[in-house]
Parts: sequence; C-alpha cells; structure tokens
Amino acid sequence: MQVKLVKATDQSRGKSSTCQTWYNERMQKTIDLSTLLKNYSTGWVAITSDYKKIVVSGKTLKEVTKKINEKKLSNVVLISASKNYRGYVTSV
Amino acid sequence: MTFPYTTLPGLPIDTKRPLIPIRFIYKEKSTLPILSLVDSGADYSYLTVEIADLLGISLKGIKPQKSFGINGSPFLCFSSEITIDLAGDKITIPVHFSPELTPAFPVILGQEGFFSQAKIIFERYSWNLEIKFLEENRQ
Repeated sequence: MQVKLVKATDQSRGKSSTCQTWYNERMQKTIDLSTLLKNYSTGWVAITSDYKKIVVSGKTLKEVTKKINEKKLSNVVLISASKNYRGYVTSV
Repeated sequence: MTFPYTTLPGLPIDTKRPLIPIRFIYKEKSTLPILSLVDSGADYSYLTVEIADLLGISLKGIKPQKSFGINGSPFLCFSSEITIDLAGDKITIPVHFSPELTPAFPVILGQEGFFSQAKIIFERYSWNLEIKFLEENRQ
C-alpha cells in the first residue's frame, strides 16, 4: 500500500512524527501472510505459530491434518488458501 | 486477549482481516487451530462442512436450512453446535455447517452464539481485535 509521506505532528503522542512512521508502527503489529500465501490459491496450508513458514499444504483440511500428524508437527495454525481475500461482503 | 489483524493477499492490493486462531472441539475430537474470521455483520457462525467431516459430525439427520448472502442469494446449511477453544478459553456456540462458503473464509464467527457470549472490541485504527469470553459462559 502506498502511503504519501507527509510531515505532520502527532499531537496525540506529544511528539513529532511523520504519517509514514505512524503507519509503519501500526503495520508492524499485524500478522503478514501476504507473501507466504502468494503461491497458494486453493486448499489449506499449515503455518508455524510464529507465522513465518508454511510447513504443510494440501487440497483438503483432512489431508493437511493427516500430514501434520504424520510429521508430528505442533504449534501450527491452519488457513484456507485463496488467491484473493479482498472485496468480500461476508455478512450472511 | 488481543489479536492483531492479519494481512492477506488481495487484488489489486493486500487486505487486513480480523482473524483469530480457533480450535474446534466435538466430543473427543478436535481440529488444529484454524484462522477464523470475526464478522460482526454475520447473523450466525458458519463453518465449512470439511470441519464437520474431520470431527465426525454427521449432518445426514439434520434438516437443511437456507441462509442468505448479502445479495439475497440462498445457500444451504446445517445447524449444529460445537465447542470452540480460543487460546485455552472454551465456549460452546451454535453453528451452521455449509458446503457453499467461499474458500477464502471457510469459518465465520457471527452474532448469534459468538458475539452474544463475548466482549468484542474492534480497534481497526490500530489493527487490533480484543476478545474476552463472558465468565458465565466459559467452560
């Protein structure tokens, strides 16, 4: 995301800052899976709990779970892969 | 508990979503933690039927119901109940299993049962989400 660099004073924090710095500080707090998931458009993936590495992938939840159990992996989180997570109105 | 938003691939630009790692429990079986979307606009919680299949939840005897997307289009779902575990805190919530959810969000945690049993604060300005299950509902 492009953010225009504008000199500004962040009065709420009582010190000079730039909008870029303000934005970056908050961006760092998020978990960023955008790069990790770029090459996965379908199925499920297992990611280490520090969100740094994909350890298993597969077509179904069952398949990925089986692979994780066979490899005796722990401390992973699963996510369904998609090429695009943007633009959904998920209200149902 | 505070959870940061998760940045995910998006077109034309990446997107941040309030996802939380939920372990689903049914009888003696449980899933690994699955990143699940917290969706204040959803009336109910919706889970892919893959989770029912994995946990051995039979949907055969359950009468299918219709839910409706934001454009009014209907989709099939099956009502059930499941226990969820968020970082060690557990509650039981009603859910609708559906084979028709988008693969991007196969788990949606909505108002009935989830929001009604937790204090949930979206802090999108700082990309954080705070969740605390109500004491009387914790297991």
